Amino acid sequence: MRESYERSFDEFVAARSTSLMRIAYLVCGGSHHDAEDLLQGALEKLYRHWDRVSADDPEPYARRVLVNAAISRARRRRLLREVNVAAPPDTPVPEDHSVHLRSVLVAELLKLPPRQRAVLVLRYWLDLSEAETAAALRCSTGSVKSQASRGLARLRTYLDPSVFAEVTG
Amino acid sequence: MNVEETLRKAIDERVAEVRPPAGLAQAVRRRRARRRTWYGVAAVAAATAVIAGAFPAYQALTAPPQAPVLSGGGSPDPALPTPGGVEPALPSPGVSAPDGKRDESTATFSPETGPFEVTATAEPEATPAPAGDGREYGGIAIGHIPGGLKWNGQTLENTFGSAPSTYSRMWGVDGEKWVQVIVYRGAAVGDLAARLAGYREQGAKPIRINGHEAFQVRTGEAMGLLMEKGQPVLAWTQPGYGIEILSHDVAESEVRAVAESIETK
Repeated sequence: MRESYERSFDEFVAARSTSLMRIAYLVCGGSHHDAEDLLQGALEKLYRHWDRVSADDPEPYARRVLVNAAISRARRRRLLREVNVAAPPDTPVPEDHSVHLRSVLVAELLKLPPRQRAVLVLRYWLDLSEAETAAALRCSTGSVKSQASRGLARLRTYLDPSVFAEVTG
Repeated sequence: MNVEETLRKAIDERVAEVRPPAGLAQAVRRRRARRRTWYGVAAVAAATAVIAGAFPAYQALTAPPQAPVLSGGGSPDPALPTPGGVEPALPSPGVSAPDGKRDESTATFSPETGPFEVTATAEPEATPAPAGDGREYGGIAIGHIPGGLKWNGQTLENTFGSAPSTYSRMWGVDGEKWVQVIVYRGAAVGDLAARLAGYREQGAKPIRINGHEAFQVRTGEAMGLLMEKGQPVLAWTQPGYGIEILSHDVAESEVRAVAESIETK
């Protein structure tokens, strides 16, 4: 019994940890260190409730724990003045405009408020529905819509060539 | 150009090299075991201290989780690591050792998973936590802590606000439920007073705590901004002191009881 419990947890980690690690990396603002810590924390919680969670699909649960932990952490770090903002890397301007544009978009994504960032990651990178995103973030679909709209609006400005040129100098 | 599609592609490129660390499942088990071990050992140590009056042993055993507590024996729980597999754990930055020395290690405070999560990233130092329930510090004494919550043995000093002279301790259980009481002294009181004024401006209704005007609110990610589902905060100032209580999964009435039990020296 215990053996199958452990084995199924190992299998889940082996199968899904890359995807979860990438979500963690994005929602925590692009810090590998924080992402690893978040992921371990989320998986630990999952492990603790594995007998119950594994009966269903554990991934949405893991995602929910992950994004909410990232949001809470960001909030608490503000309180603690220990903001470990992973500064977007100084990306040299490549010759290819579209590559540079994508680099700017991700840098801007990582600067968005944590909840807004999480919404964009879940909705547009993971392709979750509004309802699934709302469930993951424990908020209403209306809130998902408004956060997505605001986040996209901010990123969309960089698609305007004049703004892009101004920002990238 | 479609921003959603461009963003998706941009993220794909950015995370292509992001991979989880090797041995993740085992690391998760070790992390779980550390937490369980600390609680188990602390509970046993408390009982030992009461029964045998073995205060030094209690002090040693209730220190932040240290590998040696496991030495000399295996565990019937398969999740528990072997003694050699236990990772060292450290206080967080800004956490003072009992002798008042500030720890400058790189360990991370891990608040969202609870104040009892200790993540080690540096060599451990033998700094047993002060004994007791930790209710006297920063010039205050706390008369009531909700049942079941235990002090994590750490004091954060000068971490909050722009001015020094802040002291913080946390009591919790299993990282899920906790209260944190932050004491502001000297110039640091002004930081808190400014936030309280902001709460009032945003429409928060004051309550009274031991005759002082206080605010019990929820704040968002931007410190000082009220938010319906934000972090619960109960705070007030009084001559020479500012006190702020943060909590998670603790009833408002319980938090008020903590506040009302606080006496200043």
